[in-house]
Amino acid sequence: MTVLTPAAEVERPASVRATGPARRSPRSVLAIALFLAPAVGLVALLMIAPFVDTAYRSFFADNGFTRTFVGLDNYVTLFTSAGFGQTLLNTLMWVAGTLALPVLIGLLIAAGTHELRWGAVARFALVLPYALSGAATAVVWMFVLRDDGALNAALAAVGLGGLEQGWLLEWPLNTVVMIVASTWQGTGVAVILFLIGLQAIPPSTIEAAKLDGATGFRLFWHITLPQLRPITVVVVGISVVNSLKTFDIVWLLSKGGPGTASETLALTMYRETFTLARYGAGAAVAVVLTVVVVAVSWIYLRRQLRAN
Amino acid sequence: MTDRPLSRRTLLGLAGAGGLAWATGCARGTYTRPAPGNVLTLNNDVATWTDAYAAASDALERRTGSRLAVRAVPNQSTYQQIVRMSAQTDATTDLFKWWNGYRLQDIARGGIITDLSTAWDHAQEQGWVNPEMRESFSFDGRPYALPLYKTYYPMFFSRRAFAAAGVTVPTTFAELLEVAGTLRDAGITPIGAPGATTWESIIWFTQLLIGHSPDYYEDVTAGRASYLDDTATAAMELWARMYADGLFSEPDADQSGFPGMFADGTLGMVIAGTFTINSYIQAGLGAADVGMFLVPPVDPVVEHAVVVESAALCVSADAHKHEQAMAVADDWLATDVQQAWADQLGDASANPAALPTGSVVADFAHDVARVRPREVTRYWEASPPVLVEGNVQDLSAFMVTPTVDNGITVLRNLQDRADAEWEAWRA
Amino acid sequence: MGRTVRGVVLVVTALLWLVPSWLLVVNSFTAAADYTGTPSWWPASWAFAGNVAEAFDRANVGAGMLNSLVYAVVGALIAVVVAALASFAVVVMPVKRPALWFWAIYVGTILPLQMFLAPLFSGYATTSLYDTQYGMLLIYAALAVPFAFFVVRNYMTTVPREMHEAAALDGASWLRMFVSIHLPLVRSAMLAAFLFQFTWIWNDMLFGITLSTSPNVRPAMAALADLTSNYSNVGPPVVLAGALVASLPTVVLFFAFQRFFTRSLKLTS
Repeated sequence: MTVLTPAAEVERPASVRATGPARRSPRSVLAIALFLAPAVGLVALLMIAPFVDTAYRSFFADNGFTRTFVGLDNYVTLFTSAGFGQTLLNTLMWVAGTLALPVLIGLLIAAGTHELRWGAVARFALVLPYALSGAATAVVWMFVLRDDGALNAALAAVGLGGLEQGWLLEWPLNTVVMIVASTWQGTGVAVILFLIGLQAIPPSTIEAAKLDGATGFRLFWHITLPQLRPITVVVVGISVVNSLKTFDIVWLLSKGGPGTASETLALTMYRETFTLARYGAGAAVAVVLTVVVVAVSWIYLRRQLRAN
Repeated sequence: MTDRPLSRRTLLGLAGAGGLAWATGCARGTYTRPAPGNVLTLNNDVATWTDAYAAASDALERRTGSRLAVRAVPNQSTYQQIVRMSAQTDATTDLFKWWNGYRLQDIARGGIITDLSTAWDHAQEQGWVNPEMRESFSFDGRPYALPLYKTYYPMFFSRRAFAAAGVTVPTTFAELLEVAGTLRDAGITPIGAPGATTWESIIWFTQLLIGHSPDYYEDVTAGRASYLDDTATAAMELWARMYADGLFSEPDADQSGFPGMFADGTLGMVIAGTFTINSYIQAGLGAADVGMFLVPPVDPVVEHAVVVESAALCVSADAHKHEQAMAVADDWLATDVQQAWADQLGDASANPAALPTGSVVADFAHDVARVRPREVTRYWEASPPVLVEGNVQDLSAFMVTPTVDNGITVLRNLQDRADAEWEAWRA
Repeated sequence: MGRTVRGVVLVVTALLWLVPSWLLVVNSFTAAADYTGTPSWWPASWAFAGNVAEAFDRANVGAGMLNSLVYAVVGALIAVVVAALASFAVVVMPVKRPALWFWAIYVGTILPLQMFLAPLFSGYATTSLYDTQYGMLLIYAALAVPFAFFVVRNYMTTVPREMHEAAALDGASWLRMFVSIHLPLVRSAMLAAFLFQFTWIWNDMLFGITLSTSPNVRPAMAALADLTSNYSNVGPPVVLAGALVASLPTVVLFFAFQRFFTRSLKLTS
């Protein structure tokens, strides 16, 4: 499979593709601009510009009405605050958990069902939660996890009362069960993306491998998985980004508590900005969070996009 | 090219989408379109009050000729952000809801709201409001908002649960503990106390503080006393003991489930704002199912006290129709306006003459008028916002691990934060 | 043996996944007066229709769903088309510094959304985009572009080079090449991207409650948020019933997508 990647293209002499319209004529430059402009324009105007504004704010003490320039004070306060280590640890737990659960389960379910006749039914069960709204998800998981909730009731009913827990009340247990809840909701995305990847594998490749005697796990490991690479990059790339930015499910289920025990970086940012109206401090967390996500994504994608 | 039909279809689709986008592009929100001259905009964070605002608007129109058009942002933190952000833009509303106490001082200091001294003077002359309330709506000695409503924090109780356990309304705190113990022994959850992740963790902390000494509560929230004082320690120890005795629900209990538990008699009591009665009425409960009583002081010699919450009605400094908004503020507390408002709201008004007709809340308000307890501002509004928000989280953490040791640790955290935040506030 | 194990694992996983969904459905049937304060495993009553009516009546969910439909369909469509154009540019066209352009767009998935609210609100308030359908459409389309771009771009890299080199030698114009060769080939990725972005827009509440306020502009999830206020609570069954009905369009869409998949699989094998 020929995979063109931005990084690879940079290193390729331009003359290789200087054929037909590919010649970088003035018309081509115009065409390129027209193809790129809508996407770049929308992102620059509605995302990058607000971010630049946020970054600028992070150097001020700002209560929404008055601003005073304080240099790097907001960053110093953040890095030296008592809860910062805990916040980082939680964020890391989310990254590890998200890579371990939704990505892996999604891959296995997609691979296990894509040629099964009744596979669609199993897949639907996994994809359904993704279609549900955040409000419904929160109510349902509160139902399950509350101390007087369904999980404890079920445990008691089958004689496992000893396992009853305040699932959302203690760290690290609450972070773990929230990762499970987010797996429940998010695995469907991975399933669908992997299905698309599987669909793109030429049947002839699989047939050829089968003729060579590859079956079951060997077939999956040596033939299917390498062929899934482009889509795996998407799934892992997106999962890393989203797990670093984890906000919704934690906000809905534990509000980052008890205290600030289950806070992630995004929650700290939200609390500083919205709850405490310390806009500068919140902006500083946002900048730190962004730098972390960009760095991690860049390290991962730079290698993956070039790997082929 | 072989794929011509597809490309044509795609182009058609694009054209269709573009057309749809264009057609909807003209639509501006009905609430933000230019309105007739006598319509004032009001922003708040409670979508369920629409009917009550409409009733108040009718009464106000008869008095001032102005009507209210109400918007709601159904999320408190987003709402606060929007008010702050829109204050100096064209998107600001003429009137908006805020909170009293230090939260009001916070925005009054920012200069986005109008001095309402004349409206207060007028209301006080007419006897529409208790002058004692003026202070918690003031900044630098001048009032900047009117009380939107007045909610008390009594103890709600399930008549069914009380009957099942054979207990009656307690008149002293010792009796209250006894009643709770009897309920527990009858297999009923004695006291519902949510707060593991919500602001509700302040409810019992406040109640036990004012039960020991209302003076201390007012001092400590104003930064004049320390959280390491014996009174706070005694309150914390009592709270931990009540937990040890099994008198509270789990801290992650859900307020929205309480009406059902009251109906079933599986929950005995809960301290909550009187507005909560609406959720009980919603679930089909009435005066025959739910009662309210004033929580007696822990120390019988201490005067009765009750927590009061009054949201604030502000006039934007940059209101489009500022003059009319000020006229509405002048008449907001008038008895007919407040009666219409309170009837729909189902909660008490700052105007003592306006009580919700035929409601459990009215009965309770009569009790309050008879006992005349000291009315203290809710903890949420009684200290600088940043201090309160941090303390709420620490108190929530205590409710999850309610031991005496942890209680002392929490008090120490509260005092450390008070030291830092009072300094920041006064700066 | 392997097949049986696989079958059992799949069935167990699917059943586990259905448990919370089951709770959701069952409890949305409970009448407000029958709700005991704790979730039930079996329907306590059959008041689903009444609960839905109550939710729709109180929160104006119907108008919200119409708005959301417009935002989700048009917003996701614009995003996918814009993303496909940009993908074509960075993958096929002779762009200088394609990596730079890739990051310029992809960075949109990285930035923490919650932080956009304040600057966006200010921007919308000053440009009169606040509380307009046009403004909502704009923000949703923009937010949906980066992820759609990432999916479509990576899928487009699997299109064999020979395909467009051959077309290029034919002297085909860029647009023609895009429409007739690449667009059909990346159809399934575009469909998937559309599906995800439709769902994302449909389920968004944050931007809905921040950038709009009127019933004729507000999306469904922002309207549903009216049901849960601190001051009056209609109870979990009504919230669930409203949320369930509001989620039907996305569920139906996913169901239709499944059919699309099985069909296209049959075509290829």
